[in-house]
Amino acid sequence: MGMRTLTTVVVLVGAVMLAGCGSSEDPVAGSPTGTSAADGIAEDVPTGIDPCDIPPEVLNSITPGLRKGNLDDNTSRGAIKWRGCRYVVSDGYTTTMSLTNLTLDMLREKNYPGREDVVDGRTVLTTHQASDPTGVEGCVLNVQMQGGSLEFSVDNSHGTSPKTRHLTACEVGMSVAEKIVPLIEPGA
Amino acid sequence: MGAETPMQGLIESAKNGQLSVSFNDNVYVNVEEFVLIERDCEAMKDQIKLYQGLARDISNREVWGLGDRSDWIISTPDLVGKFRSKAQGDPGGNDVHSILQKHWEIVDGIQQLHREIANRYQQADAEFAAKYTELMASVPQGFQGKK
Repeated sequence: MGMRTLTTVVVLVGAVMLAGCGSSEDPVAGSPTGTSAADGIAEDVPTGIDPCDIPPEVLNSITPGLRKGNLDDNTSRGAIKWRGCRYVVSDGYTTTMSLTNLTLDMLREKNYPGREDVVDGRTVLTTHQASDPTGVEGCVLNVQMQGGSLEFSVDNSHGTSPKTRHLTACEVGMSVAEKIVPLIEPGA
Repeated sequence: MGAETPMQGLIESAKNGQLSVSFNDNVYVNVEEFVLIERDCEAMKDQIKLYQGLARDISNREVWGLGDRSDWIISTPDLVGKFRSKAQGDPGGNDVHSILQKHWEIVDGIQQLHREIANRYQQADAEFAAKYTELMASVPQGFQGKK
C-alpha cells in the first residue's frame, strides 16, 4: 500500500471514531474531559468536588443554619448539564451548588451584567441573568473548573427571605464561593 | 383593613389578647402540637423556597436550549418566552415564582398565628412555657408532623 493510501485510510478511520464519540445517543461518558466534536462542550460535568457533600461546619460558617434541602439540581438544557444540590436558610436565601459543563467563556458570550473576581486562584464570574438583571434578588456565580464550572445560583427573593433580604443575592453568592472554592481539588 | 390578609387580622387579635379560648379543667392544651406546627410550617416554607429557586433556574437556563434541535419544548421564540415567564417574571404575577410567594405567605401567617397563641399561653402558664422552651430547643428541622 502506498503512503498516500495508508494516510487516507488512517484519516478515514479517525473521522469515524470522532463521529462515534460525538453522538448524543451515547450514554453519559465516564471521562469528564471528553468533548463533543461538534461544539466543544464537555460530555459530562467536571470532577474535583462533590457539591452535595459539604460539611455542616463549612455551611454554618457561610450562614448559620444553612442546610441541604431535599430538592437537588439535576437538570439539562440543550447540551448543558447541572449536577448538584440545593441549600436553604429558613426565612433566608436558597442557593444551588452544582457542577456544570457550562464554561465561563460560554457565559461571557451572553454579555450579562456582572463582574469577575479571583477566589483561591480561580476565576469567579458573577452574572445577572434573565430572572433578575439587577442581581439583587437573584444572582449566579460560576467558578472556573476544567471542562466547565461550579455554579452557585442564589435566590434571595425579598418576599420569602426576611432574614437575608438586607443582602444582595450576589453578595450572598460571593460569601458562598469564598468558603466552597477552597474545597475544590487543586488542578480540577 | 384594606389589603390586610385574613391571617393578619387574626394575628393582631391574638397579639392584643382578643382571641380567648375557654377550656374546662378536663381539656389539656398540648404543648407538643404547637412545636410540631412551628416546625412543620418552617419546613413547608423551606420547601416552597427551594421550588422558587428551581423556578428561577428554569427561567435563567432557558437560553441554553437549542432551538434547531428536536428538544423537549417546541422552541419558537413566542413559546420560549411564554415558558420562561411562567417560571418567573410574568407581568400578571401568574408565574410559578409569584404563586409560590403567596403560598409562603399563607404558611407564614399560620405559623405566626400559632406563635402568638403559644406566646399568650406561655404568659399565662409557667408549666406550658417551660415545656414549650424545652421542646423548641430539641426538635430537629424538617417535617415533624404525625403520619
